[in-house]
Formats: sequence, structure tokens, C-alpha cells
Amino acid sequence: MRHSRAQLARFLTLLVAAALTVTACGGGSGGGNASGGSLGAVNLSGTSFKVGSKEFTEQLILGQIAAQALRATGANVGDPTSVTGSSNVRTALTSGAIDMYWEYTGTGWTTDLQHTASEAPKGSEPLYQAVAMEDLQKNQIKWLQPAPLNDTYAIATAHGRGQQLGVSTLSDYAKLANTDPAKASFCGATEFLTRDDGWPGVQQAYGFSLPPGNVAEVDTGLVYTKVPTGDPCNFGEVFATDGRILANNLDIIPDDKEFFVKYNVAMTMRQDVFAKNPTLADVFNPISAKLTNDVMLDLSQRVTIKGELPEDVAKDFLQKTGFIG
Amino acid sequence: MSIALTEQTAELRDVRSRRRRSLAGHLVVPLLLGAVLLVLALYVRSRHLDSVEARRVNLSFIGAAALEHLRLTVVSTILVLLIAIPVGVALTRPAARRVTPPALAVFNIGQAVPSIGLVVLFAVAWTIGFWPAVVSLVAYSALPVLRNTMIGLRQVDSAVIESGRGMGMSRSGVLTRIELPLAVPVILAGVRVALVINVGTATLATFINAGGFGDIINAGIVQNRPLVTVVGSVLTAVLALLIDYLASIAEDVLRPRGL
Repeated sequence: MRHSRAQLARFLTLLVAAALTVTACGGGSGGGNASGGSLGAVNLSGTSFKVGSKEFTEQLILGQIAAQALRATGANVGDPTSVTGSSNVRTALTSGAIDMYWEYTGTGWTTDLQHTASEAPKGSEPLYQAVAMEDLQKNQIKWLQPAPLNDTYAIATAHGRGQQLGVSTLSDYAKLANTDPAKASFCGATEFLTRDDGWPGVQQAYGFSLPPGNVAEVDTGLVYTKVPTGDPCNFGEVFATDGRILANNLDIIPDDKEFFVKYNVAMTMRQDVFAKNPTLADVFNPISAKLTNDVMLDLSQRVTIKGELPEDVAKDFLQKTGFIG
Repeated sequence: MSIALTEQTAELRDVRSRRRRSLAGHLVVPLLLGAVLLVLALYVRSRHLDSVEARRVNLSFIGAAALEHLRLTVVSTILVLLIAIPVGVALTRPAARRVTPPALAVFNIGQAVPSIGLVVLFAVAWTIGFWPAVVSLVAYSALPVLRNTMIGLRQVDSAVIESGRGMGMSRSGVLTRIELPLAVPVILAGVRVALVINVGTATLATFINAGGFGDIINAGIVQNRPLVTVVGSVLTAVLALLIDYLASIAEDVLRPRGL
């Protein structure tokens, strides 16, 4: 019953898309409306897409980037729909409420494909390959090329403090934690402190055990403001692309054993959407290539700290990278 | 204010009419709470805990959280007694008539501001840990004790006070030997309210590294492990009822004979 309704919905979408194609051709607009931008070379005029995103800043920016890029190719795209909760936005995709959204490879592995984090392939590319292949086979979800942007957990400290304490990698941090736990004091939010692929896993992978007295359990937002003061902690858990890292002048300590699961972002869409419009890859793969952690740190702090709007920041990014004129 | 007053007088009548309980009556609540804990323990045992659940639902973690929670509750309640009762006494003195409304407003604000807001405000502007949590709890629970102190003192029959004065007692003598003893049942009712409020609100201390059962409840919420949240919540409720029960015994003991 549900199946047939989905088929009907798909058929109707097709019908609407076809009708739109006809009208667009009648209008005779050849390329997109991106005069001057490289996306003008892609012609998706007459098509229509519903873009989704998750609810946090980085996702709001990514959703805007996707919507504006598609508009530049002549496609008909409304404002991105932001959905709260990873599993909810995924359900919106599979059910057809949205056609595409930016997903993270790590989330794909653990949440969408229901594997444990400890079994995740090491490294960005192997994880992407595994997730993209399995998700396509099992769920008919197409993953376009991943971005260098890796929004994973990370451990950060105040700028310059790492050098002062002789900590330039997490292996150094483990040494410090074993020799001088008070200096290795750590702040983390409840979720990170209780996840297998969070604090317990880090301690196991790097071979150290910080006494509970040196670990402060605080709200996520407090980690970013308390680490710079050194009270109650010199180190803390952060998200690698969070704008507050720049705002609070934090340094991320490299994860030299690659313990943290990679969370590279990639555009995901239903296979039927992609099959109808394979040129979508030409839209998003070049954009993905430009999305690095440094780029996102800057974009996201412009929104969270300086109060700019996600749509303006996204437009600025697309213009500076030459995708739109 | 008038609504609060009628509520309080209703409570007052209730306090007065209650008889002292028998020994068997005293055993009902602890037995009931023990039974709840037993059921909870059996339920948890019957379940296979995954690594995330086991990290928070184990005896040593629960024991430590219980101690932290008790410390937060007891210290904040003692501070509330030290602040609210003297202020309540002062505000009922005739000389303080003018400052009473603004002083009450301050205590009202304390209760009106959500504790979670205070906790975060302190975390940003001051520090995190035990003391900011205690200050938030005190701000939140001082009002019932203050109010009940004032109402308890005001409901003392003025004829009784005047006869005390007529017998040659000083003002302070009247206060300590007549007014306060007669106000004790109402004041204690306020203290019980403050204690229960503090046990519940102390769960918010988890957000600023002050521990307590909130560590268990919140872990269950963020990790989507309902069992963990249920364990933390039931423990908090049991602690609140137990403390309220102990306070009711104190009330029985401290209430002047003949009331």
C-alpha cells in the first residue's frame, strides 16, 4: 500500500517535472541564469528539486549553497527545508519529502547503515567508498563525491598552549595525561563522554586514562569558552568545523592514530533523482572539492559569531569560488 | 499575593490538624521507597546493558552521583534556612513595613528566573562547578521558606503577643518564646517544599560539572537510552520522597507540644 503510494507520488513528480520542462523549453532560456559563473555551463532548466538540511549552522549554509547552485543552472528550487535530527532528515529523503541533502560519511555508516563506529573503515576515502556502495545497493541512495570537509569530533586546546605543554598530536596528549593528569584536564559534553567512539574510545586507542577528577562534564557550548581560560580544563571536545573554534582562538590537536571516525560531507540523493539528472554530479562535485574545514570554519563563524545570514554567506562562497557570477 | 496567602492558610490548617503518626505509620514510606528501588534493580538486572548504558548505570557511578546530589541539596537548603528565616523574621517586624514589598520582589525574581538560565549565566560570567549550582538552587528555593516564615509569624494571634508584652516580656522575648515556636509548623512546611524543589532542580547541575543524578538522566537523553533516563529519574524521585519523609519526622519532633 505504502509502496504503491510512493510510486504514484514519483509518477506525479515526473509529470510535474515534464510539464515544467516543456514550459521552460517554450521560454527558450538556454543556459542557467548564472551569467558569468562556471555553473552556467550546466543546464538543468525545467527541473525542480526540494533541498533539505539538518538544523545546525553548517547544514543551513550547505543547504543554501545547494539551493543557490541549482538555481544557477536554471532549476526550480525553493528554500531548503531544515529538519531536526539526523534520522528525520534521512527519512525525509527516502520518503520523497526532499530530494537531496548533505550527509556525513560517518553518520551514513553509523546511523543510516546501522554499523558500529569501531568497525568503520579507517581514512576518508575507504569510508566513503564503503558507505556509498552499500547505501546505493541497500537503499538506492546515491552519494556524490565527498568534500575534504571533515566535521568530526576533535580535541582542542587554547592557541599556543599545545606548544607550551609539548602537545602537538593526540599521542603527545596521551603521554601528558599519563605523566601529569592535572595539566591534561579535559572538558567534554555528556554525549562525547559516554559514546564508545568518544572519550572511552580515545583513551583506549591512545592508551591513557585520565582520572575522573580531571574530567569536567559540561554543556557543549561551555567547552569552547572554558578551554581558553584553562579553568577547569586545558583541553576539550569540539566539532572540527564549528565557528566557535575560530571565535575562541582554539587549536585542534591532530588525531595522529586516526581514531575518530571521518565525517566527510557529501551530497546524497535518491538514485531515481540522480538517474534522471546525472548532470547533478557536475553541479556538486566541483563544489564539494572546494569545501574544506578552513572554508567551513570561516563561513560558520560568520553566521554564529558575526550574525550574517546563511543565504548571504552561501552566496558569497559561490561567487568567490566562481561558481556563480 | 492574596491567593498565596489563602493557599498557605489552608496548608496551615492542614499542618495543625495533622496528628502525630504511630511507629507503624512511620514505616510505610521507607518500605514503599525500598520496594520501588527493588523493582528498579530487578528490572535493570533483567536487561542486557550495552556499553553506553553500563557506563552510567552501575553501582559505583550511582553511589557517587547520589552523594553529589545529596551534597547539593543539603548545602543549598542549609543556606536557604540561614538566609530566608532571618530575612523573614526581619520583614515581619513593624519597622520593616516599607522595605517588605521590594524585598519580597527580589525573592520573587529568584524563583521566577529559570534555574537553567541562572546556571548558564553563572557559567559564563562566573565559573562552573559546585558553588554556582548551589547559588542557583538557593535563589530558586528561598521564596517558599521566606514566605512561610512570614506567614507563620503573621498568623500568631495578636492577643497572645500583647499578653506576652503585658506580662513584661521584651520584644525579642516575645519573638523567641511566643512567635517563633508558634510559627514552627508553617516554617517547616516551607522548608519541606524547598528541600523537594532542591532535589529536583539539582539535576540541572550536570550541565556545569556539578554531578548528581542529572549526569545519569542527561546521558540517557543524549544517547537515546530510555532505560538510563528512567533509572536517573526514579532515583531522583525516590531521593526527593525520602528527604521529604525525613523532614516530616523532623517536623513532628520540632512541632511544639499541644498544637
